[in-house]
Amino acid sequence: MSPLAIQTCDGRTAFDPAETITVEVQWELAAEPEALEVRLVWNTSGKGDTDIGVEQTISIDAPGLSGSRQLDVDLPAAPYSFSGKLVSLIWALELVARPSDESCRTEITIAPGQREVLLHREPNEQPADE
Amino acid sequence: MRRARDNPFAVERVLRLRYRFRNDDWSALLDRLQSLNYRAAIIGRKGSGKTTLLEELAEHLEARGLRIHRLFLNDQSRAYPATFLRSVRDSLGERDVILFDGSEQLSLSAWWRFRWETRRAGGLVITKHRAGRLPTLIECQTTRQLFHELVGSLHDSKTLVPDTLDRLFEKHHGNLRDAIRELYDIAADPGSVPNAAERAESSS
Repeated sequence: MSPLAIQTCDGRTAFDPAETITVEVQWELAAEPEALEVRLVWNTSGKGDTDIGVEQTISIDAPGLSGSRQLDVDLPAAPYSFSGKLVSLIWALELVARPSDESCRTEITIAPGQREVLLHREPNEQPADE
Repeated sequence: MRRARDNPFAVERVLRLRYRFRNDDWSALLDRLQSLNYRAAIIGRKGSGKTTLLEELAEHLEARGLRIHRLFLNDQSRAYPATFLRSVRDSLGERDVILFDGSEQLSLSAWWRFRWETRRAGGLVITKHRAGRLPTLIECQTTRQLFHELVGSLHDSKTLVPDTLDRLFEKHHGNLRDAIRELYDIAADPGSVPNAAERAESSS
């Protein structure tokens, strides 16, 4: 097992904006962390410089060497997950151990209809997840 | 359309590329830097890997217990770095090394003023397009082979038209940063340029 894991309890990775989701985190670390942080983050990816942001942070203090926990995370109403040719906006859930900064990450989609918004689509092109 | 997040030449992927030495290695470079009393210049043309090398040098110097102070100037930001100097000048000592990317942006008089104001630092490593100001630590050079290697580590270059990389290398005069940015555009619109298989098919 990897030392850190984060996933949604129902296994979904795509959500409507403003949903509340339940996340399960698991950890089994070699050194006892001072805290774990569950973060909802976004980053851009593409041709230009990368921007990043932390939307929400939930701390688990003195979590011990190993364990698991379920937490509710409120997703934002915006911005939506989107992609164009030049830039994508990607949402992700992260679990970070403090102070070692060991981490793991699961990318998720937040957009109406649970589908990433594509800014440009060829006439015969299907949405990315079809 | 290829989504930006799927583009093999997206900036965050390119930034993960490590500097590749031709006839050198880290051990020799660090020995040379020490023999130059930690005052030296990384020289090379635009897009030749100077900044990449400087960033990796920071990791090696930090591992030796040195404190790194980064300063970056370019065409858009070339004012005398007064704020930077105010923040570090009074605390500089033997274990402080300034890494100055884009030192050619300073006029000669500003450069000498900068040298004077940072004289207490244990080291000063600059990047510059041409030799001068400080002894040369290394000259970064690009080759077609290097370009092919870097692209190959990002993307299956066999999917590109065979002469694409050589053409881009020539067009950008060996500036690999600009050449890779153009590859981003090509990869963003895969339908706009025939790939190798399609080209072979149409010529047969």
